Amino acid sequence: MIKITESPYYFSVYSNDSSNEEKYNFLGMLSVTDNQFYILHRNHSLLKFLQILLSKNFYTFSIVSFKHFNFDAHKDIDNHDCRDWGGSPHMTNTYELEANTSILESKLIKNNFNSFTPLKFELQAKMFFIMNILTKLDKLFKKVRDYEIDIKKPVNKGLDELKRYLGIICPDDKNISNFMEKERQLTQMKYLMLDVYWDRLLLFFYNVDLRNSTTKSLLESLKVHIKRPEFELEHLKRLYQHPHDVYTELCNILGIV
Amino acid sequence: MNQHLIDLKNSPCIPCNRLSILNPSNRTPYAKFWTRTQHLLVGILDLRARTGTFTTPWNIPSNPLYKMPKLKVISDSLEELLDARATELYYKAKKLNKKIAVMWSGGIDSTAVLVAFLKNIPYADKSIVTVICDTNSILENIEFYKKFISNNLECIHYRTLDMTEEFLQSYILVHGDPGDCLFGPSISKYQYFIDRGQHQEPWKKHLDKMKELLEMPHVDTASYEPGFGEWYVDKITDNLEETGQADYLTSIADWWFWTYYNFKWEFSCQRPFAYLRRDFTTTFSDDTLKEYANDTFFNTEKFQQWGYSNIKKSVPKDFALHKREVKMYIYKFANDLNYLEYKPKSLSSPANFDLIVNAPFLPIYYKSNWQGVLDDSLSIKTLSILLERYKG
Repeated sequence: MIKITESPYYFSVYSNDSSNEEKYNFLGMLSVTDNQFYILHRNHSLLKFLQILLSKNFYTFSIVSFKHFNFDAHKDIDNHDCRDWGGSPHMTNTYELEANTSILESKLIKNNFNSFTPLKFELQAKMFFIMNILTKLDKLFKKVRDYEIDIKKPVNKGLDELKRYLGIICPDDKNISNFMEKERQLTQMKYLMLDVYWDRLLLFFYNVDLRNSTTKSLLESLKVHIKRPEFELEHLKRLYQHPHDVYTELCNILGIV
Repeated sequence: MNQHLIDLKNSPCIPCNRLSILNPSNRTPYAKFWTRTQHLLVGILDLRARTGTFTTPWNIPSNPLYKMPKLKVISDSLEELLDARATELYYKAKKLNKKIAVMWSGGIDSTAVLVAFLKNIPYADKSIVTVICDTNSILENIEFYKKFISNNLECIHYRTLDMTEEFLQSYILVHGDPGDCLFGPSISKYQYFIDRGQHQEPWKKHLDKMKELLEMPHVDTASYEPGFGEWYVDKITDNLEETGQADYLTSIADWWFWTYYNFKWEFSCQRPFAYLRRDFTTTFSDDTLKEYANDTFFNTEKFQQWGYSNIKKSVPKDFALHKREVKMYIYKFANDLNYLEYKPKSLSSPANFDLIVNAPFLPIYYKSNWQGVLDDSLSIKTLSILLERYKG
């Protein structure tokens, strides 16, 4: 049998920095058609995007939160063996985009079959590729966004105060409010641009031919995509140089030399 | 000759704040010196001599549209000149069916320009004036804004405006540059002498100290090269003597006046082409560039001769009276004694903002039509070679 752990994009759902309380606060993508988990992850937003991407390609998955499960029977479940597990009939009988795990009967069951076909493995490997890349990019963008928001906090606070005081000094003025708004937009421009780039990356994944691509061809297409003029890689490179060199980090993630 | 060299030969500006990305294979002291000049020139991106010798790595001739007039002492009053210039541009705008856009930083020079229009345009026609400013402008002169601009004149936020060919066909654009070159240069460069009451003493007596003060090893240590102060001071002094001005411009303050008046004037007049653009791929026709130069408020023979004639009054022994003539003009209109007595000269914020925030997006040089060229590898190589060959 082919092992997902041999994929260069494999990752464990457990990380060293998660506390004991948060250890089982992750989610899984459960195939509704064969009741097998394909991937476990902690970022609900990224999983939701993956779910949309899979739906577009007519793969039906439900997102299952593991937070409230009783883990006595399966406390070591991880990405390497998640495909051996599925949901109890109460959970899977009624398909939902987000599985309802609040009812008492919802629990995980070990599958008695071992039917992970090469096609299923291929899909799982693509899911790991997409989530691996998106997770790294998400962390990079979050790091830069947090920095930008943090350094602009005093500026925005200052604008609020200024607006208040100038409102007292020039009560009938028609410009100041608009000026403040414009200047606030300017302070936000840098991190709002990050959202634009993030959306461009998501759209790339949404638009790929998932069924007829390999992980290798997906990666190559992504490298080509970010170099297209409409992606504006040069602008990204110039915009975020300090303290985080986004361009270099992006190239490292995608393996661009 | 490659196209870059042809374009460079006619470039109106090779921004010195972008030179740090150049990498001449042989980083001579002179290459470092030139790169370092940017620290002397807040808001100014390019230096070139309007008269006399002043070699640069690019050796681009000065644009005749910004030429220095015959230097002579005149007796016209500043008030007469400001009033006449505003009236002239007002009638020109009416004739051409254009509006007048005043870039108002809240500082002394741009306020004087705005006052000149407010004073000389019929009240019924005030809508012909549009003020380009931002919150920093308001804060620099709140009372003036409150009394004369708020709910009285149309305002456009500085950062929303894109100066294009079309804009200049609809507006006469005026600003306070190069007021510093006329009414008294930036004081920070000779603050040491002001603090000691020595700024009116002969520069010939203090050359060693002037050189020492410009060494500035604490600024941009990466490009620091010992000898910068001596190189720069000698370069300006040689030009001052060569042009026959050393017997008239005798004080330390005069010496700095000359560095502004001769070398900063051209770029200073054209600053909006680098600072008021949102899209550097746009171009300007020769006719528009000519009209822009003609409309630049202070770019007249009379203003330049007034600045030359009144240098001693503009930078007096008592530094509290710095730019007094211009401030008096504003005071007579605005009647703000607080402003007259206490408003100091300061750098307008937009210049600062753009230098820092937009630097990675500023072109590495501009073509003659002010189309910006980004730092592609060929441009970097061409400029690097020229910088490498620079002999000071």
